[in-house]
Amino acid sequence: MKLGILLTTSPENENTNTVIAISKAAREEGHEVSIFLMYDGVYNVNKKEFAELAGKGVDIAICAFNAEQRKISKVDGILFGSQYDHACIASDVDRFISFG
Amino acid sequence: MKKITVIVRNLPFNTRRNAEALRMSVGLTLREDKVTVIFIDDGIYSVTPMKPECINLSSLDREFGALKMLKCCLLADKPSIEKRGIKELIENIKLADREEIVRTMNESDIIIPF
Repeated sequence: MKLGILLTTSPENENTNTVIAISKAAREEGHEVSIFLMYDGVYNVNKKEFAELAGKGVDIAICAFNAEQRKISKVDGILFGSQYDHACIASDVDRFISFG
Repeated sequence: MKKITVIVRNLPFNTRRNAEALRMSVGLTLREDKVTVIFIDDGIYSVTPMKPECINLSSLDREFGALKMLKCCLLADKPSIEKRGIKELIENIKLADREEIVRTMNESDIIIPF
């Protein structure tokens, strides 16, 4: 199953830990996971535990427009994309969860 | 084609969330999905005539213009409007009773509260 996740809150919000836990659990069960970060959610790329998801097979894309507004530097393994990437995730996944 | 519903329920002036919700809604149309935006609770203030430039904030006109051009359905929750005594909405907003709001959500493949 393909799981899509939208995260719009910054790392101090409990949503981040929830997204990390769900993503790890889904990957362990063999599901595909795609995460899109926008608004304050782009700050999550600076959280080590979150960025490590990319190395566990989770596809992570962030809104480059929001990242540029917040002076977020590029991170290896994370796509600095656009709202089109979000549209693709929403359109292609079997289940979509929003955390905001 | 999926049905995607975005829910806007925050005040427009103390956060950029509402503007970002509309920008995201425009982006979600890029894969030919049907996007509906519901304005409910304090979010309905976003669809009232206002002059955000008076307090040095950017207008939402561009986002609303794009959503209109893309023929996205914009619904304003009638009970929320009545509770706040709002008399006027901007153009292209459809007044919807709670039954229609619930039906729209039930028929959606994806709901994004923003």
